[in-house]
Amino acid sequence: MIMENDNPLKHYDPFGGSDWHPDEGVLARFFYEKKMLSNRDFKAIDDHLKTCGSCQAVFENIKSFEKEGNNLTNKASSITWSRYLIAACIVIGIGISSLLISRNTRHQITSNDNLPNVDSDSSSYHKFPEQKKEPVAANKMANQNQIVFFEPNPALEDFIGQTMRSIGDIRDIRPQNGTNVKIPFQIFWRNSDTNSCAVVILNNRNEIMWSKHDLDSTVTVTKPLLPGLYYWKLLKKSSMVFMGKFYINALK
Amino acid sequence: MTPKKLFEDFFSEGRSAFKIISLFFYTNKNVFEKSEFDQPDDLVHHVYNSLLNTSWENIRIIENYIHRSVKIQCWTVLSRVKKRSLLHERFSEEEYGSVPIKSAVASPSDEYDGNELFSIIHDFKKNQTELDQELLNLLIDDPEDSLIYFAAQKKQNVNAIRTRLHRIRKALAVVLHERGYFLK
Repeated sequence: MIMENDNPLKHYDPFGGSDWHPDEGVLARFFYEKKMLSNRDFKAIDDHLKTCGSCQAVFENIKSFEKEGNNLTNKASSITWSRYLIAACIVIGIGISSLLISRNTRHQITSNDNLPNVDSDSSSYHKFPEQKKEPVAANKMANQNQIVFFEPNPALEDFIGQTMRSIGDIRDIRPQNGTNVKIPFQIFWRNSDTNSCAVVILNNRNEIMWSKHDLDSTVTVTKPLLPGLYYWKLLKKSSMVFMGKFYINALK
Repeated sequence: MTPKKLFEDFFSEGRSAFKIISLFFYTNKNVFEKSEFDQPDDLVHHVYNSLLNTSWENIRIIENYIHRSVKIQCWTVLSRVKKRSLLHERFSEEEYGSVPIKSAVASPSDEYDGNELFSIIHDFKKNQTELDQELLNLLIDDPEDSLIYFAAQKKQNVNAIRTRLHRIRKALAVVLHERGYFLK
């Protein structure tokens, strides 16, 4: 027999109370480390979960956060090894683009229009595939693309709604995060100092879609953007002071 | 795993644990912003500190362990913050002068104490070897069970098991004492 003095847990009965509910910490341990639990603790929590609706709701929250967290960590780990792949793609991309540039140089020099256009409307990004003759197949493809374009970007989502206090006070920012807007629309903010700002619009793959510099407190976006989720950055002295997001033609 | 490596590989900005905690913070921002964890960095710092005493030598896949522990710690902090605000609400609901002489800090009679005790013992168990974990579970499940039977099952010497038990008992007593539990 185990000697009484040898057992520091002889009076251990954490779940013995009549009105006991496991808290989030207990349920998280139950969810992630089931194998480590003693049979008695496992049974107590499992039995309680079967009968208590409010605890079941908390447990569902833990489960759904696990899915989101997994998405993040999977992406984080894949980023590490895929850096080499990205580097290789960049090298190949530079090679191809330098070839294309060299082919177009003669035309650009004679056209006198080779200065970078900040408010460019060239929509090389984010295009839907060309419509096919069969309408059913085309619609299906468009729907799939719409889902892709509305998917939140976890890296950018981290910054949503944050204002960087060290760089100056920015207030009354519009549009509010997550609103559905129509082109043209206005981005507005109140700036506490005289430094000019810049606005950059990104798609959900962190690609720059549009940008405008030397702004005081407002800008009107006229660039035609395809349906999707977009993020916008407010920059001051090249540093980000705010990041928001908006939808174009959000799915209902 | 040194504290510096732990920080650089997991908890610095953009790393996996940092991302998980930030996501958790913004998912529960309404709860955290009323607490001492009103910035995501505070929560990151707290969770990082809670992992510093981990016995890394007992862990097989460190990355999985860290991610799991980070999530568990996040949920634990959330439940503590909620409890504290509940206690605070109860305290402020009472008329001044008629507040019962009862500590707002969790005591063994407190209704929340079972959860707290479970979490402390579970985290203690986590830092032990598999054999010690089983021994602790044996103490919880079958206090009347025979050590001889357990030793035979694990193909261990009874005296070795008894020594392990003595070591675990002392270590657990220290942990519980540190957390405010008085053991005779």
